[in-house]
Amino acid sequence: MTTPHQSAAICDRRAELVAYLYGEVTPAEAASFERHLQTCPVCRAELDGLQTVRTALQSWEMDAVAPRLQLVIRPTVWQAWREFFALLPRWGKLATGAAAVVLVISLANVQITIGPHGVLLSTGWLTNSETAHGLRAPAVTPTASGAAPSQTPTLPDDTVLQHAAARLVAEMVATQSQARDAALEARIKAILDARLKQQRAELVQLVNQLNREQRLQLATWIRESEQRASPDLLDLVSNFSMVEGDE
Amino acid sequence: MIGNRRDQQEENHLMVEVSDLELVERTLEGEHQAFEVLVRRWEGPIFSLAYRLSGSDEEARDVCQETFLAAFRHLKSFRREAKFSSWLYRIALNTWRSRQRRQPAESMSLEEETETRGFDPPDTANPPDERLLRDERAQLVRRALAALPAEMRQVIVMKEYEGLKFHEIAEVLGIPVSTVKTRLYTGLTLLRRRLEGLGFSLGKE
Repeated sequence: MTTPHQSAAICDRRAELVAYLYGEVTPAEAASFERHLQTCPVCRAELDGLQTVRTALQSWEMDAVAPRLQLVIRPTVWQAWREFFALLPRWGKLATGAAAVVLVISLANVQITIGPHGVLLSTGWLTNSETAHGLRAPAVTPTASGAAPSQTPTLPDDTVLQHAAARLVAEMVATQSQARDAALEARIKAILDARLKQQRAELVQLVNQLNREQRLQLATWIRESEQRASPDLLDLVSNFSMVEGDE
Repeated sequence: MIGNRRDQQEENHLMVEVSDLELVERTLEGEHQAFEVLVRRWEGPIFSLAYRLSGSDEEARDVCQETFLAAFRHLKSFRREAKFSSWLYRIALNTWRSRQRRQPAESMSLEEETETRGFDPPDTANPPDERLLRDERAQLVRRALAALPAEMRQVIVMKEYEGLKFHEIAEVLGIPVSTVKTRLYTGLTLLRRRLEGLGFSLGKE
């Protein structure tokens, strides 16, 4: 006697059988497979068997309630900046945008060239040729003027001066950049702090609505979430749906 | 963050009318509220998927949380040719599998889990005998499913409980439709044997 499990080896129309079982067939395919079923007891038995498994699977009803997740994500500096920018009024955006453009242009055009004539430095406010000319001139002059002994010592002095100037400007640029980052960080921190404070207030309000048992459950979750330290995640609170007023 | 009524109205509007793809775009532009709408829209299905796979609501909640955090972090890598939901399902499956690998010892057995749950509200609609019988059958199904190899369990859960089409499952798993059908067939056949082995009366429905 052939069991349904052995039968699969005999009739190899599994793909059609599965498609038919889940109704993912065209009317023509369905008709074709039904004609086959009339003449194939193996596939009939197989179909019956799989249908009962499907019925059994449906006896496990959904018996858990999906939580209303609250994800608190620490944004990157860039994301926080964008959000901050989005909150500004129109004139604020224009002013901030303009200031940012000025800053970027002035920084972007800073150019330090290390070559045979020493260190050349240019900024966005002067053209390269002007800068090059202005800084090169003293270095070139002594060589062109026949190298008078009294002038010779000025050559290393100029180079040292240029080095010092370049270092000074580079330091200033770095300081400016740090100051800008610090201001941005402070603003972001203020926004995040305000948000955290608001969330805490909301949380306290919610906790006040819970009964003792629910508070204990919440305390357990909080302990668990503290154990799972994740750098990007400040905290996650899964609220009871009834507390959210979803009932 | 839902602050006032206007925000609520805005969220409702986003929730109903805006496509997943547009919400993704808006999130990438820095509008975090758009991502919250995506979470609201998909937390139910993702939780359901994770719960059917793991059999534990606590585990499902963790998978759900990790899935959305990972989705947020890697939103830029989402390719527009796939459906957002398929991408999210894939993340959830990967999260579930990696959690399984990471903490097999910590995962609770279904028997233990049933004992500790105890939160089910009393069912007044059905008489106790019928309810007990139904719970018992559901319990057997959970056990039989939990014993299936992961690749078959995933396909069965996505098809039976999440109602995904064959091609959608194929997209989520990145495999051909024919493989989906084969896994489904094999999985159902194995499940049938296991249920029969557990004394589940398949004939009396």
